[in-house]
Amino acid sequence: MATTSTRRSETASIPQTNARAERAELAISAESEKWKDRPHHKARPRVRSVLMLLGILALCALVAVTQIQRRWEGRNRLEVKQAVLTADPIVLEATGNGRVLDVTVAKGDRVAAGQTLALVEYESIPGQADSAKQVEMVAPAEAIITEVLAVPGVAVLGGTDLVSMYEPTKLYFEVPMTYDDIARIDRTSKARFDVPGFGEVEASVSGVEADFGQAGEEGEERLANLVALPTDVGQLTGMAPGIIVDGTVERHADDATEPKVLQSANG
Amino acid sequence: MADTPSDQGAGGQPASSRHSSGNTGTTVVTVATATGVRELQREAARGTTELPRLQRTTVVAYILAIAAGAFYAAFIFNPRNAGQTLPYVLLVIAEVLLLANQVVMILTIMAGDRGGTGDDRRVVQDARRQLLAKTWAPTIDVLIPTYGEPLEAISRTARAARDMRIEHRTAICDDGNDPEVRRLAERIGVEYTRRDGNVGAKAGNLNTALSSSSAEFVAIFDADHVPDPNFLEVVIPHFVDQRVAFVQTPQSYYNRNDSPVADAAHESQRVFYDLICPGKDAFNSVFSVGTNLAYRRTALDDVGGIFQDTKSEDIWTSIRLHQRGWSSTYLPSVLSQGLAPERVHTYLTQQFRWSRGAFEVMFHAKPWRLKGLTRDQRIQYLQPALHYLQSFAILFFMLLPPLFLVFYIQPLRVTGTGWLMRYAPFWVLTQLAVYYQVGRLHAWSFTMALAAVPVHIRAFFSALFRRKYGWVVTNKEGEVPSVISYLAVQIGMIAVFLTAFIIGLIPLSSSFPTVISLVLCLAYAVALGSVVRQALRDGRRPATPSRPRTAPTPVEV
Repeated sequence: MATTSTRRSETASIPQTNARAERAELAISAESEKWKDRPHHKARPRVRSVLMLLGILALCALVAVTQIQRRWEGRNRLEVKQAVLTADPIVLEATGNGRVLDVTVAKGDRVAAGQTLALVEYESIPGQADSAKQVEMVAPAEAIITEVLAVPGVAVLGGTDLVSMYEPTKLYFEVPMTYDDIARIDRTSKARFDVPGFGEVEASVSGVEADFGQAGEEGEERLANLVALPTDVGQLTGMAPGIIVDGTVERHADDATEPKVLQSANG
Repeated sequence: MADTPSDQGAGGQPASSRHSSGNTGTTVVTVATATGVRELQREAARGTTELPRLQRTTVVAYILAIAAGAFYAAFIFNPRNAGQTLPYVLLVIAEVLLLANQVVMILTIMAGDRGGTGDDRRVVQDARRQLLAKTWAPTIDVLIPTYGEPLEAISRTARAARDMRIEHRTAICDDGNDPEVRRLAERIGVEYTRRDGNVGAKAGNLNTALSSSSAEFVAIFDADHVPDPNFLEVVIPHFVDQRVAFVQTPQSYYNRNDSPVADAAHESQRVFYDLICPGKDAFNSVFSVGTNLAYRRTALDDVGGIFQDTKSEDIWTSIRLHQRGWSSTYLPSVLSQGLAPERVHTYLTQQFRWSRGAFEVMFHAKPWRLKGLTRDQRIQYLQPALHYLQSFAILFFMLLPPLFLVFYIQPLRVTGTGWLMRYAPFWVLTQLAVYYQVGRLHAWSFTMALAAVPVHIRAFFSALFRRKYGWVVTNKEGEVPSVISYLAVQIGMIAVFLTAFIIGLIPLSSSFPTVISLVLCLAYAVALGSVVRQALRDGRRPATPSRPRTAPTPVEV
């Protein structure tokens, strides 16, 4: 600790310091001139920083090469995500008031065309003798049962859903897309989807499921579902609706302003 | 040497004029007649700045900015607009951070909109009159902690401190153990203290000096902050309120025109000192920034001196004082002129130190559960950390365009125009509010803020894991680190933006977001590129120590 003078003595000494301060100014100015001439010592870059920078640059180069190559090769293909394997449901319903007598299928069963699914007894119509009758409900096509609502012994009203199913050979892909992207896709464009567990499935664009006049809420991206039908239904064996897949769809190189799929569909 | 503080008084008065009005304790006695006191009072009052009320347009801009922020938040937080899950969640977190900071900042600024500084209070005026007339003569020590700063900077500060009116003792507290500094102290007639070792860094240095001082008040100036002659007569009367533990004044930089980096540092400081600090004062939560302030000695003794278990001793000491029931005062009057970092690496070093301090408080002081603090004080002590946490949000927003261009990652499932229609009003009104208050929009401030993002994030983890770091003097001459050493991440980010830009030219999807992303990538690359260019220029600049072009002059707020 080198503190020395008291406050009083320090204050008293100040008048003398002005002259000393002048000399100090000169000394410090000389010091400043030395600083001007002093060359900067440039430190060498830290190894860790250099390695980190090289790592980032290498990663950028790698991503750039792979992405550019991939995009160049696929410049006429549109990559799509979140496409859904879909099937139109077939729903069998009661044609009149009555009672379910028997149900012969369960959820998940595969049924042949014409196979009996349930037996329903419909009520007689007043004024018509012998109008009460038992009806066999049969599968309209080869299908897979997705839901059985009919319960033996339970009364049903006309229009009540009894059994729902889908045709496994009529699965198709629904591909959500923006308006801009759909504008560059033709009807019959080829598509490929990678179905998990089943491999690649080829398909052909058949239309669009959306009304472009209804663009959704302001700010929402305008989306429509492109419909692509598998070209070989044999590939669909074992697949079920609801599988989410990624894939690619062929597109034009030119920038169209109108959706060509829609034009084709309308035409 | 006509441009040094020794030769010119406040406001650029010639030396003869200043000497006649008294610049030492001895001279003050000779002019302390009734007329002299009035003159001195007027001169002291010239150093104080009345804080103007916010203009009505500014208040309207603030309110509109908050409304636009709510409008934008409602859009972002609507799950119907969500895109991919993880990016959307990160986007929501980033927006919450930005909006929370914006709200706290605007409320703080509006709380400080009271007009006046408290300097015109009768008790303060009376105390100043007594101080100038020497009927109240408190003992005052002025301490200048140093640690390897340029000799000329120390000299300039020490001489200005020595020449402050009102009787006081000036001491250079040298932690650099530099014989040149000792000789300097002898030459200019100030005291010199040093200690064995450097335990506790600046706080330890000051505590050592305090152990041999019994003054009632202690003013502290960093070696690169030159006080005005009237500093003590403006600041000390505020201690007439016995609850006041310290009086803080702003930092202002005289070298702001020397480099765009210094100018950016000055601008960001203006926002803090002109807008935020008056608001903090309204909540009795101004914290010490370690320089340009005066402490009441009994208050320091009450908390065991300057807190020295951290390098952010200033804010920690403030917390302890507030916990013990002491109050603080902020005077918006610029009463000293300092050195802003002129080089990119010194700017980033300073940013690291400050952000690390803010994060240390958040992680280790945990203001939300500290006893003795009011709710407002807890919020205000978290505000600096909240400010620096924005860097995470900024980094996320900077990375969104490249992520979209390269990997088609979209946090929102909306059109570009839909997003722009909601974001643009928020952004424009926020900038408008800043423009109305600060007077200009400063491109280099934005640019340096982007460059500081990786530094703040490093400080976050450094504070979280309590990593040790060394003290680096701002504007220390003679050594320029390699640009790669301190800008590696920023250079890497430029590479990322340019890579994404090139890849984005072969778009996955031809749409408006692609165009926006391309423009943003290019803009970020250019902004960070200009920082790297400036850093390369820094390395070629001669090591000329800065000096004030004119004497320190009070700057209008």
